[in-house]
Amino acid sequence: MKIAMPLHENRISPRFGNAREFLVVTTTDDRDTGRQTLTLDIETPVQIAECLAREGVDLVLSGGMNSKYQREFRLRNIAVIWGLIGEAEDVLATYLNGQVFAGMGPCPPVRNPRRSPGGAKRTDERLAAKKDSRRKPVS
Amino acid sequence: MKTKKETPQGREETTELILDSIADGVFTIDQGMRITTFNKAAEQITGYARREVVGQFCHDIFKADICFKMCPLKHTARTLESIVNMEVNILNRQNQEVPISISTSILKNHKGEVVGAVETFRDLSLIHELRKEISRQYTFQDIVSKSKAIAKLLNILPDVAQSDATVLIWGESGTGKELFATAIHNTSLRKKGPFVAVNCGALPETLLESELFGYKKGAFTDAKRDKPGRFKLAAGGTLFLDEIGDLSKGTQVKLLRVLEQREYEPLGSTSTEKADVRIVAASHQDLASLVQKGEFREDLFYRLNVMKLEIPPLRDRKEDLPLLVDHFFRKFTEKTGKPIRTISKRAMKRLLHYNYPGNVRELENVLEHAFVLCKGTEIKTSHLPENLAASKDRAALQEIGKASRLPELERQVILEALERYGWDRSQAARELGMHRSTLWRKIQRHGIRSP
Repeated sequence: MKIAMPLHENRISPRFGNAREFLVVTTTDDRDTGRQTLTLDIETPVQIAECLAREGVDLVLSGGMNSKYQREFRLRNIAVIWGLIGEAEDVLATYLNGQVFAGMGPCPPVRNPRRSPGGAKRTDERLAAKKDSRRKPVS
Repeated sequence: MKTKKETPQGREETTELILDSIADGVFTIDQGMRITTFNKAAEQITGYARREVVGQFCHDIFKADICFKMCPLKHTARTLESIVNMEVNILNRQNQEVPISISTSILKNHKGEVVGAVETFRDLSLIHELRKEISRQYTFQDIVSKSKAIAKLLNILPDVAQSDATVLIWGESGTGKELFATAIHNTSLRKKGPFVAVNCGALPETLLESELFGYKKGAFTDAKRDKPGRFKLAAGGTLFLDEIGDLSKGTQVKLLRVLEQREYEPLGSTSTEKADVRIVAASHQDLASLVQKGEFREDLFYRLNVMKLEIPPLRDRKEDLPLLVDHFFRKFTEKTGKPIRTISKRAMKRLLHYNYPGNVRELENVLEHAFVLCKGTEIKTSHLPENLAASKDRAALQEIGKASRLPELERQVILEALERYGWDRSQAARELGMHRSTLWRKIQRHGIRSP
């Protein structure tokens, strides 16, 4: 399986449409077996989706993504998980651990938050609770 | 406002309370671009909860289109200049684009050192939608409008035109029925054929028949040669029958036959002729009620009523007034050559308050009147016809204002209520919110008598 992530420096680009660099990771049995970085100097959703489809990408792990892009990926049978935040490597590792699902907000857990107010469970605790209930990506 | 009891915690709580009561989204960041405060309005606009976002990078939460290109907060931190009302797009938690207007400012501690920045933002979705709505114009052929009702008509008009179905246009006098009819013709498959218009109300019955169907030489005295009817003239094109409600019953039967059999006989002819026309009929009267009164044939009504287009009167689409005024301005400046450019605010207001029983045609006449009288470059209230000033609503208001007119008004209201309920006094009294005997007394006093 091939997973693509839009990059801003080393982090997942907050906005898919702003990213020109993509990390494409090939995985076998949920293990990272090869990677490459794509730099695309193209603009439209159609072009980007087409290009990633040509690369054989099956899944996009993304931050915010405008519906225009989502539609193009859906048309090409590429699954999308959006709403992810953090270092690309962390997001990938979390996904390969089976812990990422669509629209989940900040992920992976916040490092050194200034304060953890409101008694809300820290994201890592929440994720730990879900460790066994792996969810398949939702397209 | 310092008191002895104030503690740092208490102050923080107060600040939070104040921030949450603001309708604009407010958030602050530290120098590492991580969010430190996030108020309630910000939660509503972005969809993220405060506990999720505090400590996160602001660009990860806001996902604005300008984030790494021209960050307003970085700009403010670098130059110490505030940014006011800059429009940007962000993606909310649900991945929807939200247009917002942002303002930024630098945040200093009590020693005057820069500790971060604050940004306030306002949701512009509604404003954008309204702006789009206002600037939207619907056009089709020569028809220009901003009105929703007209837009609906224009939406179906191409399909209606493409079909060969009979069309019935209903609208008050002066709303532009013929304009719609020509638009239908010009976009139909028959556009290369002729467009022939007949006003059924303008001609007496017998004359109308010979106009429509034509006659043969010798059909009556002085019929010295064949005369082709309008059906023949419109062959291959469209026949527009205006004021169809004025047709006599005899002509209605003949027209019905044409619609059903697609053929007719000219007066005095022994052979039938094929009618290769598309019929567009129009009326300012409500044909359905004419049918009820027995003045219009039911079968003909249903034949005509295949596609019904109802044109709303001008008073129901006042949003079109500026557009129409503009249109007629261009038309009349061209026609008269006068250098009139604008209309004064007061004059425009008066135009907007009038209710136009004569619809667009009346508006056109009002403006033509103004163009004749106007000698400067701006049309003022003094150039408008006098009846506009004494328009109905205004007169009604003035009447209410005068105490001496109150009894008359009361009489009118009671009379209307009684008529509405078929002179059932109990029901009328209930609607008027008075006791039955009070109503009875008032009826006596005003001398109202049932018909």
